[in-house]
Amino acid sequence: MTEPLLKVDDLRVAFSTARGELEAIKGVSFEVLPGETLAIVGESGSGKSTIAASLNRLLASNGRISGGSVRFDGAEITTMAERDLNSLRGAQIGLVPQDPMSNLNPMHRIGDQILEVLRAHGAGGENKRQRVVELLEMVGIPDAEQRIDQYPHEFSGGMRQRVLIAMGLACQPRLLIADEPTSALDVTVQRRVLDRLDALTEELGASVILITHDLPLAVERADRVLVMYRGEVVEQGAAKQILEQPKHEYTKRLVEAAPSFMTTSLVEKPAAGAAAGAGAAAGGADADPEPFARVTGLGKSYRIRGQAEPFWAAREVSFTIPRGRTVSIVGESGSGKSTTARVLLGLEDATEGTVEIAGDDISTLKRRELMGIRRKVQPVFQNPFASLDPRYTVAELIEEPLKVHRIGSRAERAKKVGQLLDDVMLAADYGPRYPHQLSGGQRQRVAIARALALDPDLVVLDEAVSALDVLVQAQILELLTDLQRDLGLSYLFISHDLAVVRMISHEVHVMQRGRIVESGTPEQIFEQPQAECTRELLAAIPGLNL
Amino acid sequence: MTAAIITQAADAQKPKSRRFTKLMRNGAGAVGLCIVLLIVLLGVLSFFGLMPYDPLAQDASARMQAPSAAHWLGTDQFGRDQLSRVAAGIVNSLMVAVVATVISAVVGIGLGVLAGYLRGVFDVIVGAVSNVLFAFPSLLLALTLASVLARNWFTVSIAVAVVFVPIFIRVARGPVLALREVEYVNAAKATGMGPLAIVWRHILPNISNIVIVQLTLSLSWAVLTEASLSYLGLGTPPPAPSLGSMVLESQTLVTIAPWLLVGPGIALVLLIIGLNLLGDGLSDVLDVTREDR
Repeated sequence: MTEPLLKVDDLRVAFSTARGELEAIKGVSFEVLPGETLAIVGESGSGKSTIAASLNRLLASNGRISGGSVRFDGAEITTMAERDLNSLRGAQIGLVPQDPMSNLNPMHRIGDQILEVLRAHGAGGENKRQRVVELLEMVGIPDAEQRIDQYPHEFSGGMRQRVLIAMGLACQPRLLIADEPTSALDVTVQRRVLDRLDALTEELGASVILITHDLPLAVERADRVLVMYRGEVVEQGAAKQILEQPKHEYTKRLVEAAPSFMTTSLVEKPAAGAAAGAGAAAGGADADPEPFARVTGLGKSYRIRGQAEPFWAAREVSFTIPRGRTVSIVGESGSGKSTTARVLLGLEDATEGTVEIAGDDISTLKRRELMGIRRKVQPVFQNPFASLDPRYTVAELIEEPLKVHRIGSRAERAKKVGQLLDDVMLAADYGPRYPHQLSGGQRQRVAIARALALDPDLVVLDEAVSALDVLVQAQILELLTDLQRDLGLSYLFISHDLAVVRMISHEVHVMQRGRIVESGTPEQIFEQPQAECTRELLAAIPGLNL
Repeated sequence: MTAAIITQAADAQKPKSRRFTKLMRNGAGAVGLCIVLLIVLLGVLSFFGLMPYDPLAQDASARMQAPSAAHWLGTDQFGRDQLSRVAAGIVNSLMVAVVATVISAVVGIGLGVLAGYLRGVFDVIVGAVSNVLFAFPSLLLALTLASVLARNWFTVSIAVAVVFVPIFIRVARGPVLALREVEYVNAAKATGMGPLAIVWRHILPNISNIVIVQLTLSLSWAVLTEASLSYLGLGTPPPAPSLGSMVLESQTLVTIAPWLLVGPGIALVLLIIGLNLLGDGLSDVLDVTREDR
C-alpha cells in the first residue's frame, strides 16, 4: 500500500456573505496517490474550484477552512505557517489556473513571468533563461528561443495555456492542480494541450488533480473520478466504473446527459424523401422547393490597420435553411461561423453575396421592409449573463420586442408574455424578477422567450447552450426541439461542439478559416467525415470512443 | 429556499430604498450625506429669507464685531452679519455648481454616449474637441471664459461647465464602447430597435451608476472652481456674497478680524469634503458588480 501524496479528510470550507455564513464544502474526503490523476467533476457552484483553492490555502478573502484536514506528504496544510506554505506553493504543489486570458500579466514578457516562478523558489540552476526555454519547448511552444521575449498578447489562447502549464510545472512539483485548464480553448486545441499535460506529468511522475465540468473529459483523462454536487462528494471511484456503473442518481443523470455519449438524435428523422433532399441541398443542388433562408456566396471582410489586404472573416459561404429544420454550422473560433450568423441577423452587412429571407434579398430592402424581415429572424446568444439587460424585469425584457414593433395593447402584450413564459417552461411568477435572480439556464429560457416574442420563423442560436452546465444544456436542447416541433421553427445552430450538433441538427456545415469545408447530415459527418478539419473536430470530442 | 426567493424578489422591487439603506450603512457615504444636507439646509434657510439678517444689509453701528450671541460669526467691515453672508454664499456657490454640473453632464454625457455608440466620424470629432479642452489647464480655461463673458452667476456656471464637459464625455464614452458589443444590445438591434431607442433604454440606464458618482464629484470640483474664480475676482460680482470672494475680502483684514476668514473657509471645506465623501459612498453602493454578486 503506497502512502497517499495528498490526504484530504472531512474538509469543510465556509464563506461569510451578506446573508450569513455559507458552507461551500461540506465534509469532503479523498486521497491522491503518487503519480495518479484524479478528476474532480461537478457543475458550476458545486465547490470543485473551492477545493482546488483550499488545497494550497488560496481561498478568497471571505472564505476560510472551517474544519477537517489537508495533509500533503504528511504535513498538515490547514495549520501551516504562511511562510512554510509559500515554499510549498509552486515548488511542491503547482497550479494551472483556469483563464489563460487573465492569468498572465500583459505588461511582462512571457519568459520573465516563468523566470519569476523559478526565482521565487531558487530553482532552475545557474542558467535560468536556458531553463525557461527548455520549459517552453517542453510544453510544445515552437521557436521558444524567440518567443520567450514576447508579450502575452502575441500568444494565442492555446499557447497562453501552455505557458501557464509551463509555469505550473516549472519547479517540478509533485502535485499539479489543473483547474479547468482547457475550458476556454477550442476543442482541438484542448485535446493537444491535455495530451501534452498528460505526457509531461507522466514523465515527471507528478500527481494531477484535474478539475472539470466535463464528465467525458474526466473519464478519458483520469485514473479516478470524484463527482461533486453542492459541496459534497456524491460518488468516487475508478474512471471506467463511474462511467459504466454510476451508483448515485446525480452521476447517472450526468452520464445520460453528456452529448458525446448520446448517439440518438433529439430531432425526428426526416422522411426518406426529405432526407434525400437535405443531402442534395447540402451538395449544392436545390431539392427543397422553398427554403426559408438562402445564403449565396456570402463574404464579409474587415480592413486591418496597416495591412493592404482586407481580412476575410467569411467567404463563399452558401447554404439554405429549410422551414422547420435545424441547420448547424460547426467550427473553431475564428472559423467565420459567428460572422455568418451576424450577417443573417442583419447586425453586419455582407461584403459580397446575397442573403435571401423568405424570398427577399435583404440588401435591397428598404428600412421599413427590413423591420418586417427582422421580426422573422431572432437571435439567442451564448452568454446567459450578458444577453439580458440587468436593469429590466423578465417580463419587461420579453415584452420589449413587442413594444418595438408596436404589437397589441398593454393587456394583450402582458398575455403574450405569460404565454411565452409558459412556452419556455418558466412559471408566471418569474415575470417580475430581475435577471440576476435567475440561474444560467433560466436566463437562457428568458432569452429564448424574448426571441420567440415576435413569432419568428428562424431563430439563430449562436453558441446558445455552450455556457450551460451539461444537465441544463440537455434541458434547453430538449426545449428547443419541442418548440421546433410545436411552432414549426427553423434554427441556425452555431456551435463548436460536434457532439451537441449531432443531437439537434438535420444538416451540418463545417467551417474553417471562413469557408465551408464540408456539408451533410449529422450521420454523414460522423460516420464518413471527408475533410481533415472535420476529423480533427471529431477526434477532439472527449470520451467519444469510450 | 422559497423564503429566500421571496425576500430576493421583495428586494428587487424597491432597489432604491435598499440602496439608501446601504448608503447609510456605508460610513463615508452617511457622513458625507449628513454634511451636505446640513449645508444645504443652511442654504435653503437663506434662500427663503429665514436667516436673522439680510446678507446685504449694512449696519454702521456694528462693524467688525467679533462673534457674539447676536452675530455668531461676527460682522464684516460694513457691519453685515457674516453667518447670513456665508449662508447666502453657499446658495450662490451651490447654484453655480449645480447649474454648471447639470449643463456639463447633459452635454458631456450626450456627446460621450453618442460618440461611443455611433463611432465613426462623430466619435473622431468629439474626441478631438474634448482633447483640445483637456489640453487647457481647467482654471485657466474658466478664467478666460469668465473674463470674456458678461459677469453674472449664469455665465460663471457656463465657464465652469465648459471645463467639465470633456470629463463627462470621457466618463460616458468608455463604458459605452464595451456596452455596445454586449449581447443584449445586439439582441435589441436584431428586434429592429433604432440606435436612439437602444441608447435610451439599454445604454444610459447601465452607465447611470458611473454617471451619478461622477456628478457628485463634479459638484465638489465645481464648488471649488467657482470659489477660485470668485477669489480671483472673476466670479459672481459683488455685492452678492460668494464664498470665494468673501475669502478674498477677509484676507486684507485677517490680522484685525480673523473670524471673517473662518466662516467662508470652513463652509467651503465642509461642502467639498461632504460632496467627496458622498461620491465615495455612492461609488461603493452603486457598484453593479458588487451588487449582483
